[in-house]
Amino acid sequence: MIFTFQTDDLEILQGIVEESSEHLNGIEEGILRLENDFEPELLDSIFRAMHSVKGVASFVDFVPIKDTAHSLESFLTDLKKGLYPCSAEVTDLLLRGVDTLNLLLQQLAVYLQELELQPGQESFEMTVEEHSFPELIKQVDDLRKVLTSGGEPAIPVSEIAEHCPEEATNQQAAVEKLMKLELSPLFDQMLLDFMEETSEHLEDIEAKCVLMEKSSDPEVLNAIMRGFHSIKGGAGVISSMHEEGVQDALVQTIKNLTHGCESLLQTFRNQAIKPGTEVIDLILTVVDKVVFLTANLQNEEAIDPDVEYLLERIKKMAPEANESGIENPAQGGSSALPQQMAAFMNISGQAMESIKGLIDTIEPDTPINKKRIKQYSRALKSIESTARYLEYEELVQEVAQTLTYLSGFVPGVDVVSEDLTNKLNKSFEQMKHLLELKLNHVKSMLENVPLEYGEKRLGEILLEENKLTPEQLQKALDQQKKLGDILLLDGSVKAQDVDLALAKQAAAREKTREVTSDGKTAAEAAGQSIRVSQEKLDRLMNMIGELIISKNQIHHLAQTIANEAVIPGMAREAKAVAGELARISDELQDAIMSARMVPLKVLFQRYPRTIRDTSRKAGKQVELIIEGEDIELDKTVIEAINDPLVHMLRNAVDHGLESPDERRRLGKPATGTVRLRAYYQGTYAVIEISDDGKGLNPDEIKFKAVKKGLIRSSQIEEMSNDEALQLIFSPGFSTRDEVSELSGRGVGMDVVKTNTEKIGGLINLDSKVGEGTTFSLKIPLSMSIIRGLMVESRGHHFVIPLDSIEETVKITRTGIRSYKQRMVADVRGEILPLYELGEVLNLENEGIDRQTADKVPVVVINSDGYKYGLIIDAFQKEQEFVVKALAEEMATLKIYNGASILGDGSVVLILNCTQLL
Amino acid sequence: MSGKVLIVDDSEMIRNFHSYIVKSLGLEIITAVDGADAMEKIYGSDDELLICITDINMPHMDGYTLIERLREDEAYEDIPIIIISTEDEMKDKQRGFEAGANLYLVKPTEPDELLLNIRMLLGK
Repeated sequence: MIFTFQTDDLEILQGIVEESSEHLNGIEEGILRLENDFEPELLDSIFRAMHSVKGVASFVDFVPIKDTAHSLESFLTDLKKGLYPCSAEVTDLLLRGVDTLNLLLQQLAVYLQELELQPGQESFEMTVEEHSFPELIKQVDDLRKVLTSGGEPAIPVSEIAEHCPEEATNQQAAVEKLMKLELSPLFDQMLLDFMEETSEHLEDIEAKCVLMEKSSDPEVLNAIMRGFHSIKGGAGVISSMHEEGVQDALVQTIKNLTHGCESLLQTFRNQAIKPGTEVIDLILTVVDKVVFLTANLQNEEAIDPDVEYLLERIKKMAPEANESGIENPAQGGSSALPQQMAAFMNISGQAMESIKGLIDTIEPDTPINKKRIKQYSRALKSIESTARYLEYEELVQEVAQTLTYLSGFVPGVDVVSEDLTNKLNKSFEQMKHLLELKLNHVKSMLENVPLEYGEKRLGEILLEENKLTPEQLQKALDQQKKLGDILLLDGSVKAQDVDLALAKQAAAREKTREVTSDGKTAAEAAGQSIRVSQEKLDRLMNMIGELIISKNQIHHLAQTIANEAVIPGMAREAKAVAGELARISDELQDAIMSARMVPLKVLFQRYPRTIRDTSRKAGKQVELIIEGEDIELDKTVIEAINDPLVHMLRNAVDHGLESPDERRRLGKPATGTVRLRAYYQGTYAVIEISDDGKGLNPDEIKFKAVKKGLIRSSQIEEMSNDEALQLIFSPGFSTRDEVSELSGRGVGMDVVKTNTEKIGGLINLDSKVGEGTTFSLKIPLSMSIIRGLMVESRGHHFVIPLDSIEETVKITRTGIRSYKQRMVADVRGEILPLYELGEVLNLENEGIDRQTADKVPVVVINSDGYKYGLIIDAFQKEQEFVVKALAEEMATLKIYNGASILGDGSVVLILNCTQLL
Repeated sequence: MSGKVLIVDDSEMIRNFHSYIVKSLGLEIITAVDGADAMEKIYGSDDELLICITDINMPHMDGYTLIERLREDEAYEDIPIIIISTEDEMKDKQRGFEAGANLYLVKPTEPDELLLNIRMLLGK
């Protein structure tokens, strides 16, 4: 299947990928929660998210996603209706559906990325595997069929369109008549626009108020009134949108206050009085209040508007203030009418008012103004077109006759004609009569509606009134669109009938009126943020790296100037500048680093799914507890630790936890616990994965290790339990004889360990037999810039990361002893093995004669809990180093973390102390 | 549906709101910030208007004047004109009809209501 997209749509498509991915994450999380805890509200929110996924895909008509999401949406609808319970089977399929959608999105994302790399194309094609999504849709349909026992399988929307393309286009207009317009995408922008416009108006009003005190130009007053008027209008629109999260009370208050001021000023304008200082003071107080209210519109917390006293004062200031506009009565008083009928009555009612207004001005024997005739025929035309829209034939006929008659009067001439006057009057009465007939007919139908219609579905009502056959209904139901839309689409019923039936349903519901709690979900916490591409951040990060190098160069320069200063005071100045630059670049570095930080939540929210799948396959009962998902890590780190974490979680379930039966036998709860916990520790984030399973048995591990040839049997005796546990990180180790389907995917703990170390992390293991196992990953918060100590050995410079350094000491040469051909020394009561860095690195001895100095500088390294001393020739300086990755051949040398460029432009290698020995 | 719609309002928010609603009918939009701007925009192009939606209370040239001017032109003699205003008094409505409006809606309008009204006035 090949889909063609326009390059113009690129941004939209990217938006779709991003937005849908977010929705899908939420959906997946929701589905998992749903299985344990069936909350209708949760189901609603999943449904809404799925609907959005479908919606955005329809936007570019990307059929695979549209149809898949549609199918899943129907599935969810069944659940909402309670047709069958949300069993594990259902959840499985829903999750597989989410996977399918994710896959499609990923494919799309890949295409988009490629496209971005090759600009200039007008369109691009995307191939989707023939069976990927139709298979899933079929599975969904089959399962739904089984679960509801019987009933035809649903047909995907796109197929319907193919089946009957002509009808589809013919009836499209009819369907559109009943479609609801989706406003939420517009809302946020509108609210911002409103806030901005309101602020502008308020500023203007304030300035004009001051002006009004001095000037008597009526235009100033008009301008102020217009300002209030505009704010009032805007507030009305905002509050009419009924969006969640908006502080409706505030908007209403703004509307009332501005309306009050407008009316107040109106009385002054009408009486041609200039408002006095008191009034202006009051207006300015209101302006302040509205400024405050507007500023709080986006706040989550509700504030008490508390404006009663202001409204009181406004009223008192103008006792004759015009009240008529405060609450406009529902237009035509026809709220219970079907929507179309109400609109019809409104338009024709207004046309009649217009006609009535002009008939009243006609006096016998005076010419009728040509403009009046035009007004009359215009009003008639309004009635005609609405009647035509609703297929009210008799009305169309009646109006057409009058219109033909009127066209007999040449436009542009004022007319005196008794005949015309009579005709106008007669036509008006006739029209009034027809309209009343129509209205009363609809009203009486609504009044006599049986009460049980309120509990009935639209289809049932249409069946009962013989507007529809049961077969037609069944066919429509299977398509799972809005019933009314489908019925219109296949021409089963007329738009009017659906509209009327819906209104009857609503009227009956209104009459019985059950108080139901409205399931308003809490407004989403919308942190202010913008999307920035990873590439831009990386570029910025690189540039900051360069900046830090320059900073170090300047520092170096300042030092040189200080040493060889020729101009007095220059050294101090240079140092000051270097210091300032250092401060700024530090702050900049902090800021950009934090921009790259991503909360662990993005990873952690995937794991309930991982645990669920694993436990179902392994036949175990597991509860996953997640803590610290707010901990933030660099995005590259987050990506790098996903695989290790998934592996360890699977291990915990598969190898760590016992089967439910065995756990019961051991007196443990049948459901095992896996805990995923993250927290900060210094410049590291620690992620712990622990289980309350059987724990690792050191003897078993030693035995296995011998069997696999990892250690010799002679080593068993002298190996401590902790050392034995470390064996599981050896390549080729697995505690189970058969590699299971789940955790054994060719990656063992050795891969986990190397992956963790690749990002500068450490992995630790703690396990007690019978109590469980805890792995902890210690991960540096950022990777690109480190603090380090520069040291010298045999004429070469190296950087040792501060994270690895326990302390630096100088020990006397005589204090170094030899033990089994190794050097050791007593450092603060601890015997440390010593190594000479130059020797470890196999450097040629070209340095100074070290034998002469009686004190030897030693860096005490703490690598993964193992302490040793590195003998060097000299300590240099401690500073920040920008880590640059090593090129390919060099990258295989694990003893180096990378390289850094120094202030003087020379390159220095950064040691990886965990790999040094 | 195809054709152009003139939307006149001094609030950008309202203009955007109405444009968004009307766009869903597949119609092209011309917006203007007041009557004077609307006249300039219309007479600056040969675009044929299908319908006009205007506010009343606007600086420079108000909605009534705009409608009266439009109706003086043969090309716009018969197009449906909808007033959407915050005023809700009979005298304002009558003045609107006298100026030549077909329909007078009071702000805020429900999107579905506005769509329906446009369709009805166009008879399709």
